[in-house]
Amino acid sequence: MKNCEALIIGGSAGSLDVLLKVLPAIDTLINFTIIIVVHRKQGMDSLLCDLLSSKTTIKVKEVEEKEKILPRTIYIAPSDYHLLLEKDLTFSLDYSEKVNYSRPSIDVTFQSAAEVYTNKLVCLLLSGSNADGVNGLITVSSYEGETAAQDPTTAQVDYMPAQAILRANIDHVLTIDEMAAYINALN
Amino acid sequence: MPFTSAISDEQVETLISDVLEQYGYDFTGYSRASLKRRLLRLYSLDKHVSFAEFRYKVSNDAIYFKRFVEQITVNVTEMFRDPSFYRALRYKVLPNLGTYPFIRIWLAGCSTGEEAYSMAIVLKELNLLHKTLIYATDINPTVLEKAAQGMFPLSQMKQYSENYIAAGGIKDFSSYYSANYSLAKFDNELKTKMIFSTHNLVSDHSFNEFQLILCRNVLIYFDRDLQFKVLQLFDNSLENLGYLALGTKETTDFSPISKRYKRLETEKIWRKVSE
Amino acid sequence: MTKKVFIFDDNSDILELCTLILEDAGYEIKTSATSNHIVDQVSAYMPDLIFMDNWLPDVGGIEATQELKSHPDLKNIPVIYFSANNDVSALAQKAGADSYLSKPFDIQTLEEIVKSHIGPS
Repeated sequence: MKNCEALIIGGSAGSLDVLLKVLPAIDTLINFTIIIVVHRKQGMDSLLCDLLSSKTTIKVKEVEEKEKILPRTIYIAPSDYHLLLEKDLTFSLDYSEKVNYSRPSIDVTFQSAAEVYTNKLVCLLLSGSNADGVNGLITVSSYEGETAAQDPTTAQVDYMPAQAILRANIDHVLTIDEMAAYINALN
Repeated sequence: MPFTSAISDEQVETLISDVLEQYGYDFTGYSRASLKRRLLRLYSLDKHVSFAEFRYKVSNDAIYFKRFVEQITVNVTEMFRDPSFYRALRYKVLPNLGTYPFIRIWLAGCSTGEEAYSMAIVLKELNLLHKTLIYATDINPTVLEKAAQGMFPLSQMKQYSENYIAAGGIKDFSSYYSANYSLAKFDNELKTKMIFSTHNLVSDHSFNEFQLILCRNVLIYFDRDLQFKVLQLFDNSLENLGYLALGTKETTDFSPISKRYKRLETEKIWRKVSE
Repeated sequence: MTKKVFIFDDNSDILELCTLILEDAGYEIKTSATSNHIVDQVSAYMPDLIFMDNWLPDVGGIEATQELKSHPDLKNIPVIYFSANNDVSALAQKAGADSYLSKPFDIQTLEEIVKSHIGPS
């Protein structure tokens, strides 16, 4: 894809490691927004944000309610809320039931973003132990967005990306080393 | 061909305007992303066959409309959610309010009551419950009925107990309820200081003056304009030096009232410092 | 020789984050979500520093720390007590810990407290 407007990276167990490796290699002059949704329990949100922030010079921040979604920024979904996107390109938070036992749920954000960004959206699913995000990828494809999954052989927990490949007709399967180049080419 | 969901954005607007016209419930200020998501969820849950059919039922079946309101609004809640927030209440806010002869608290958007009972427990442990009244309101009459019963699933008690302890709770949490089949029934004493009533933050007015107003994880479902309007309503209902408490991700920043409120350190609790 | 830190906390996210931060800073990290058989756990690893959360299930942070501090071979390993409680310092004192860290903390604070007890990696 070219002229991507948003890249959403979702993951669970084992994803943090991948993000810490990939973030430093992402071109600081990307023209799109990056949104990161990782499963986590409540608490220590700022520590995660700090940690990811230390790996890149691109601005990293935790999502604030009703915040405008800006390009060249990396947003982190807060713990214990679902992250939604509005048509006016602002973020909304939602505290409804867990989806796939998760809140934030990757499915919820992928699906919400698909409606907003349609064919300018890229979603990448990383390591994890449940299938949250797989249905989201299917929705993204149906809105003509692009989908990618971490190569399960490189994942700490391969279930999540393996399920994605099995059920969601993924456009690209990427090893950790291939991710930064793929992301930089989305500009 | 690009995918279209079962309900389009235009259809959401149609439904909202039907509901306003028919029942006077104004959802126009609700954030569309979560509203649409809940509409799609209800549509799918109730296995509607077409939008037209769904629309017709909502407009013409008053009983179904009640269910509609219950499902469209988010009622997920837990006792002592965000323990650090309850700690701040216990150690910073409530002791200050304890200096008043009588304490009036408004819990807006109380849902099934878990927050109200949590509040009552903290007040009891601070020996303030006897001189407090908690006004617990919600748009949804069904959840209020549940709240008035004070019974929650027994299966949740372990989590609630952990939350309670992390929130500074000093007693055995299980001493506050008795097991009744699969439900935990909370002490009647806690309930005697609660008043439950329906109240719609969009359309209803201020009904009293309070020293503490809590409205947690309700504003996130409203758009900016409606948030400002509701914050104004709270401002009108709050005594000077009273406290306003919002959800962990909510804020008074950017709203017209923000300059007259000072935030307490790390929590989303503000004190009104001028009229 | 790489300095070793053993972190006890029942929140797996905190364990993961602290591990990543401190490994980045050059330390070797071991984690555990329980304080049961604390003497066995610590003896098997012999860390240079221990982080102990207050809210560990079963045995609990206070009792576990007290056990370590009364053991001849393990009592000299510095224990840093951590918790989100208001009274974390009182709890740390009760436990007999050497120091404490209030949650939430940031990366810098974490690295500094480790450095101040066992030096840089």
